[in-house]
Amino acid sequence: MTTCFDAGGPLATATFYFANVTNGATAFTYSTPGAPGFTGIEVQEWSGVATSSPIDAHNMASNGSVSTTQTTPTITTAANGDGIYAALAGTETGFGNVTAVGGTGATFTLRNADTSQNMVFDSSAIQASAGNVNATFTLSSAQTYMTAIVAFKAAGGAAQVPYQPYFQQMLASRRKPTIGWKEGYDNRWRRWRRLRGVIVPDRRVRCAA
Amino acid sequence: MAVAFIQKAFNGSQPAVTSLTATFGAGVGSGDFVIGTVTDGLSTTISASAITDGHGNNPTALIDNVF
Repeated sequence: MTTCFDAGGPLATATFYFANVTNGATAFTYSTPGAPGFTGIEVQEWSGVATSSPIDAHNMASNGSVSTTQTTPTITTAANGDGIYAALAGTETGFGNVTAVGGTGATFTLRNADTSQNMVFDSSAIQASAGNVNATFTLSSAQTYMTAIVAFKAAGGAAQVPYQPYFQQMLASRRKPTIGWKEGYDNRWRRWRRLRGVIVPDRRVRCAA
Repeated sequence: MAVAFIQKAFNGSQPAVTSLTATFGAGVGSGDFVIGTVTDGLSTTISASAITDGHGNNPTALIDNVF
């Protein structure tokens, strides 16, 4: 676990998950353990996620720069087809609205947007191919924020690994020229005979003999 | 099996609340995955036991920091 602190705090933030939910829950409640402060909670439900050890990679950081663009840490996923969850939480007063989301390695969609207190936001994406991924949030007000990013794996293991289609392509590339050359040769040979009226023993018969 | 986003829920408040609930519009599907974030004006980290799904289950706290 990485710990970091922001001089504008204090503000506590936790990212959490429930794997393999079985009881049809609809409500998720946070009870503050200390003196009540500004609070926010947001959740997303996903299907098709591995029920055991679902997390591929994750990270959290306090972005110290006062900016309208906040970027999560970059994580490196190991499995293709991961779901990517990104969160943004304010660490000081004077929060702004999220006006756009983006990132690298996947195409993100804004999911929860706290337009009342502007405390917490989230986005998500599906990353087709494993590798580096991060998320960005564009805000209407420059501030410092906390960002988190989590990658979770698909059930049944990773999607098809890249070397399989490459291997199939290699096999095809070895077969096709041979077949294409032979068919092309035979067709040209038959056409030459038809055009010139030349009687020549069929190659296949001659070869068979 | 490919992962797929299903639904979202959110709740935010001014100070002076002791609990806060985010409620999905529909029941969570069996075997599905729920991920979320809680933020609070605290100087101590948030315990996973402070979060519940209403059926006595607490989540796995993935990242828990004080900024």
